[in-house]
Amino acid sequence: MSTLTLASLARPGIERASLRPFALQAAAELRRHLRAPDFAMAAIALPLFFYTIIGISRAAEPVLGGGTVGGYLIVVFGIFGVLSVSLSGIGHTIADERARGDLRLMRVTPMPAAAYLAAKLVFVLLASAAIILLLGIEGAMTGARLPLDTWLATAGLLLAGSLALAPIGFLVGFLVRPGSAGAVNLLILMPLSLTAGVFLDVDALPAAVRQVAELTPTYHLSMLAQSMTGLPVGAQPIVDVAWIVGWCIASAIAALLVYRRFVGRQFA
Amino acid sequence: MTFAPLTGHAGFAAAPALDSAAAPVVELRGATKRYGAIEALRGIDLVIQLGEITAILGPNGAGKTTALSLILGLRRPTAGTVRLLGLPPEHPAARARIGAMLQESGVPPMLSVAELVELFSSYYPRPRRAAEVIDAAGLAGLEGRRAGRLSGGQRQRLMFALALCGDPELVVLDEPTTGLDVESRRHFWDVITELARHGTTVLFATHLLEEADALATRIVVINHGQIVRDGTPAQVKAQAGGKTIRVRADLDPAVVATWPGVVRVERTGSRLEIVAVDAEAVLGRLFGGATHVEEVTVEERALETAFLDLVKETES
Repeated sequence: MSTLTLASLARPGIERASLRPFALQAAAELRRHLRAPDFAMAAIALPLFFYTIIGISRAAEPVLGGGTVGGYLIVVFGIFGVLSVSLSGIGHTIADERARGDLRLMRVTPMPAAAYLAAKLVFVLLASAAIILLLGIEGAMTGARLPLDTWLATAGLLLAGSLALAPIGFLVGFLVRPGSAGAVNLLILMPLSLTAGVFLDVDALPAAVRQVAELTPTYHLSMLAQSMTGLPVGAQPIVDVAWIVGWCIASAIAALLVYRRFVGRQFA
Repeated sequence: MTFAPLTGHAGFAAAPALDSAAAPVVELRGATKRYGAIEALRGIDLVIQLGEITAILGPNGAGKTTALSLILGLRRPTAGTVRLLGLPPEHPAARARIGAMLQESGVPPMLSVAELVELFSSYYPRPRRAAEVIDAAGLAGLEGRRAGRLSGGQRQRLMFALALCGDPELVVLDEPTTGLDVESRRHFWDVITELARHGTTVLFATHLLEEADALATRIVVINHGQIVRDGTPAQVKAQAGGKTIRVRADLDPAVVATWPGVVRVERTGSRLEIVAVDAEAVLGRLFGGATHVEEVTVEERALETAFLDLVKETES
């Protein structure tokens, strides 16, 4: 980068602020998804739709030991939503970019790789924030009452969770063949949503399945978030956080290796 | 389709490359590229200086795209060295000073022309004004159109705009006019010529001799991964040029092939097809000999045919 700066200074003309590519890359990332209705439908509308059909009549129902059904549904469909944002918004998008040759073209420009990475993460954060906010509004309307500070803490946790799950999106994006990104995403989204408790409470699963579920990041994210909303899940915060962070680091390393393999093949 | 003239824009004046004035713009030394068992490039030496307009000319599969990929740092040579503006081609400082139009490349279809030009401009330390780039590429009036809704020709122009927006010292174009109609192609040539006139070094690949002839100050002919000719368009055409003489005569083609000025002889039945650089001398011998000759035609060879012969010649 220092050489780039020196070369730029040696030439006449306007020196652009180095944050400009970051801002424009993020803006482009948001625009392209906002304009693609299939994405908005799948990632944002689906969790709201599920919450509505299951929660509309039961959200206010109290759960034995604390919390409401609505609080539970916000947590599990929030996790479903942020995971699907990472998988389709990052994974599917990168697979498309590879197929179309976007990455080839970007590679011959001096685009900072960090701007590309950051734009994808900014998108995940904003789309996740939109899902969580809309779920919160729906929750409030359907009687899933949460104190404001509890609600904010839960929302913050789910947002942090969206970043922790984002490397899985990068992993898919650089690993799968472009045509199969959708199928692979579904294969990841469904089990990991199941272990978050989307279809039924994880406690209701057979013991063997439950043991496997406890190995997944979404199970621990769900436990943490549920206990935050006052549900009696007996979460062990340190253990849960360790599992989530461990998954984040492991999947980030895997994504980096897969990215290197992709670069090695494409640009060798 | 209209292209705005590039003259009069301060931003288009050639900027002196202060930090690499001595280095050639492109330098390939013994560049070899193997894909598994296929040898796409076999030891290419190519030095391109500032201000040259170089055409890499060759048939499909000759190694043109591979050569450009090495120069752009999209591929690494199996052997040999590649330098771009005196730097390794993948160096950000080299990339900041070039622009490229690739064959297999894309952009997000949901973004508009203006948005993409603005985005790509932001990657460069000293970009051109977006309006200027859009005008130069012939995209005026299409600023708001999404990339996915452009026609094939418009898309080519967008890719060209993206190659220009960093105000590059070197523009690399891989088959830039493929799929364009004749009129669009000629406009494209005008813009490239205009760019070169303002000091931009241009390197492009094409399989059309006509295109190389119309634009380039230097033509490098590649076939089977090797440079088979390198010179001015006039030199390359002279080496490949000449006339085709068709005649019905009872002559041994092996003998005719030894006549001065004869490049190649083919026999089909009693007909001979003689390619010669000096057609008049060959005709003199044909008519001056004892053999009966009839049905003589002489034809100036089209550039395309001449080029194909050149390629064929390097294959035998």
